[in-house]
Amino acid sequence: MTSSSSSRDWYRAVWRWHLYAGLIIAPFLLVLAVTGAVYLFKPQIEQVIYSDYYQVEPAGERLSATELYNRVQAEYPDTPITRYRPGESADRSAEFRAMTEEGATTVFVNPYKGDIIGSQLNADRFMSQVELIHGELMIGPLGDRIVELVACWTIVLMATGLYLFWPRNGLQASGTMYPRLRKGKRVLRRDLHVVPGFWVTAGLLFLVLTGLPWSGFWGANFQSIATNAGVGYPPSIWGGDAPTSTVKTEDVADVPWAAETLPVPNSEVAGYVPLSLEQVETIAGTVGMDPSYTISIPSTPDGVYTLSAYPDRAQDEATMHVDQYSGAVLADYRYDNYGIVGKAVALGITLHKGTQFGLSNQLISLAICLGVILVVVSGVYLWYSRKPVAKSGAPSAPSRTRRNVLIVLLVSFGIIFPLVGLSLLVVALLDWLIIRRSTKLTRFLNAG
Amino acid sequence: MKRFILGISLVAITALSACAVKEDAVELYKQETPLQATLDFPEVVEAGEPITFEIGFPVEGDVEPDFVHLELQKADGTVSYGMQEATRIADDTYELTASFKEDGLYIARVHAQANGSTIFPAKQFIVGELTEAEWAALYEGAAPVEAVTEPHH
Repeated sequence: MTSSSSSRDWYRAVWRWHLYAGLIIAPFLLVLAVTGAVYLFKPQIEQVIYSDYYQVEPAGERLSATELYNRVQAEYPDTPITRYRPGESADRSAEFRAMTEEGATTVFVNPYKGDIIGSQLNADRFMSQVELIHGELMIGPLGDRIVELVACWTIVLMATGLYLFWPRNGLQASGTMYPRLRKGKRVLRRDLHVVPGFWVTAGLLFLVLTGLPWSGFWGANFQSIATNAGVGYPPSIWGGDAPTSTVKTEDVADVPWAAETLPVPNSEVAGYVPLSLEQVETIAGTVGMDPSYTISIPSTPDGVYTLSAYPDRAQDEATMHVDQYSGAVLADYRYDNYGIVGKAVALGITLHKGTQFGLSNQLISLAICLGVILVVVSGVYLWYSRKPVAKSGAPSAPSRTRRNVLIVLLVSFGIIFPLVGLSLLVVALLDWLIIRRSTKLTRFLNAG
Repeated sequence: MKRFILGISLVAITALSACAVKEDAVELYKQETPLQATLDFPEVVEAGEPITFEIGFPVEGDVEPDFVHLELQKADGTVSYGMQEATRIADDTYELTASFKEDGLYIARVHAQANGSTIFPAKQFIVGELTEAEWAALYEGAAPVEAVTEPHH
């Protein structure tokens, strides 16, 4: 075989993978790009649509957190209240999370008057819906795995796309950095796929790599491995348990006595009592938590108050566990306390969400999303406009040697990203059990 | 093909076995040294009778608290005995004696600090008999939730 026919054979093999992977991934990538573009502007969108819930008129002294808590509890009797968010500014409402029968509900309270402004089922929030589509296609863990798979295959698409596009006679600006408008429709269709692809590749790779660490399978395992190696997030921020109270539960006051009607002996009363929410607020102020922090209220006698803040900048993040009886700070993790991988992941998350550098960050990410949409749509159009009738238009299957080399490369990738490995298994099974046994399919897919 | 499917199945199954965060991973990150204290006093407390509150620091090694104070007051805030310094009676034990004129539900709160860790655990106790209102407050769990004082920092 001559060098040029060998090169052509490779080209066809890579093209085949790029085409099939692209066609399968395209609809999902489109959904991720559209929802991602919307989600980027979550702060601005929520500020507009929920301004009635968020904004309050500062008037005199704020009521104590306990008073606000009691008012919310009175409105939601027998409903666990699990979180309290004081609000980051004087004109911001306080929030409580009530676990109602319908699900987690955010209750907005005016901290000056104590009246309940309104409540929202968290799952019904517009951005929660967008996030659900973006993160799990609204179908739960299966959707999460599909999104993860799409992200992984996007890397394959970018690698194969770069190989296909890379000019054999050196890079030229036309057809790479800008489309050739006067070279005919065929060239223009190709350029409308390749040029935005060239521009968004680095950004898209960044979005994929920064998005993967929060995926349910690869991300969870990656985070655990990093945490166990001492280079990730400290335990309890992403994975792992929070510490427990240092006070023995038998020494805790038996409160509340609820249904009891007879006086209880002093031995049951005289126990340690939990801190109040405002005492926890004071601790938060003393240790310098970002004002957007949330307090998770312990639900068990040995639980802890967990204070967490995830503001716009990764460097301002904080997670703190406070003994609910003694007020002792059991753990206080800031960005500086993360391992090197944890820092990279945290920074990646805020960059991915577009909050790290504010509007400029959002606009750059928006441009990447729009570019991805263009690449996907033009890619499908490019294939459809060129494909012969009644055939997939895929180049012929490569020789056994080429195929094996490509499979080894993909399996290696599949080891790093196991879901890709699993999807390869599914493809191989489909090929073996169905495609190879159907002459029609073999011909349509050019898989002979 | 069969070998390929078998091989990739093995790789996928091995890699798909999820790993969890180990319990001792916490030692690889910044750790706090939270101060721990115990507060003990007699089970039966009568009005006018002197009561000794014993504050212990049950941790290994020397703990030299910067301060050990005890704040005593009624749970409803109507009577306060203020913040009083406890006396060191042994390396890890402090005590303070007080008496209470009125019956009622009280709170004793320790304020202590050592090695940068500040704590303020509190115990409630009954002196003599409680009024109906105090029992009602106790049953509603109001006393433990409502803050009596700000932490001592």
